[in-house]
Amino acid sequence: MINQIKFRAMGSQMMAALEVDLELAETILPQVPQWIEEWEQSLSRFRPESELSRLNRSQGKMIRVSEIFWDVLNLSLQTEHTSQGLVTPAVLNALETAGYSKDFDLIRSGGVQINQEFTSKASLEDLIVVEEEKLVLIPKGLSLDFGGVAKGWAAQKVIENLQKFGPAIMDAGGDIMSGSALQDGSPWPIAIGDPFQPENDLEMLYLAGEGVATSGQDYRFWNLNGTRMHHIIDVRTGRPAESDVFSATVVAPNVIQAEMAAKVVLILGSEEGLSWLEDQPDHAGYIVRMDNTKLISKHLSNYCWSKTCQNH
Amino acid sequence: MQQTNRNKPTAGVLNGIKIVIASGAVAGAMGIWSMLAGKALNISNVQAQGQDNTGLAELPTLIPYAAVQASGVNPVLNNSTTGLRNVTGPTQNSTIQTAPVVQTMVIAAPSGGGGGGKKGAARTNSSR
Repeated sequence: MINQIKFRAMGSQMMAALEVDLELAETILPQVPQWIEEWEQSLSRFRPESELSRLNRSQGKMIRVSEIFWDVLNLSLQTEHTSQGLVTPAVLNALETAGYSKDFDLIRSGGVQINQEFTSKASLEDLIVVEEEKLVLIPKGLSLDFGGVAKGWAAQKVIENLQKFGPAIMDAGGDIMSGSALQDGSPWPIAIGDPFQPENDLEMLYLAGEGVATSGQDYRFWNLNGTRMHHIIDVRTGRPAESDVFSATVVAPNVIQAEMAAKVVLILGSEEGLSWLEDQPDHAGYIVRMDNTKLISKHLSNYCWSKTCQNH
Repeated sequence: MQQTNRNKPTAGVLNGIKIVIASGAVAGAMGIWSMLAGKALNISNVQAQGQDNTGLAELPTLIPYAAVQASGVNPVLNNSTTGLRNVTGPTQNSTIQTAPVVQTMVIAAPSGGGGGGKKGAARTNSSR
């Protein structure tokens, strides 16, 4: 029997599912929101007393951080390198300049008014860390937002914990990590939502042990001084990416890689993004362009149900 | 004896504290997703060079000194605890307001092409 628990955390809708008997599920699954609450206390930029917020306020000073924070920081460094700097947690200043300065639910209800200049420099190059002591120093002018890396890390950790008990899947606001196949051997079915018609699905994917994530301009957007803004920052300009990709879904060996790759595709644009994706042997993607045309990478047929998808 | 780098500025730290510079290039060379396997990230290849019996070590030459505020580094040079703020562990007492409940999940079997009509275990879309 597959059991699930749904809750809201990290500014997103979460769902964890575990295929075990109900009694065990009722013991294990309620712990998932508690795990994530603990991690969020360390990693959220929207909580003034989180480790991240305290680090961001302590520019120029050495700060000792927790194991959790250290793990996510290192993943962020790896992500920045792998994406050749396109995906970095050093975009907080740019996000706030664009208006994403508070929880997104508040932005949608209250609007945004900010008058700051966009700047393009954003990377972790200037970060200093002391490995054995887990000390971190961020220079003045640099602020971090772990964003999707933190959510991906959380989904990954949940699966690591849950799959000791049985097949599991974790959905962190659309960024999904699947554990091993179900007990009957079948993979987990995961739908790709249609960004133009959110009630519809575009495709059904089948995953067992992979991650999938989607980045898009369709949900987290707002108006700033009359200009449409969204939350995917192009570090080359310091502004929300100007892209013909409305939504990019990527399957990768884990959800952190998938989340990074989806952002890369969106930032690069459909043509260059698809080309980059095809060069990643263990990635597959589904791109929806602003004109609602679709591009499907050749590797997606490994995970796709429909013939339309498999014919690409 | 404190060593001097002819080309780059140097700085020292107390014995036992290893300084590591985490540039994107360095991090990328470290086996990209090793953290995911629960392995400690080994970045010792960029640890401090030139430690000697005085307990002082040069910082690696990768340090972008222009961006580092001396006031932020000095406490580490002078005292292993002064100036360090331990922010380890939860810092906010909050509780889950409404306890979510465990429910049974039904996954409908796929019955045809396209995506319509089938119910997945989950749904990927841009962050909700």
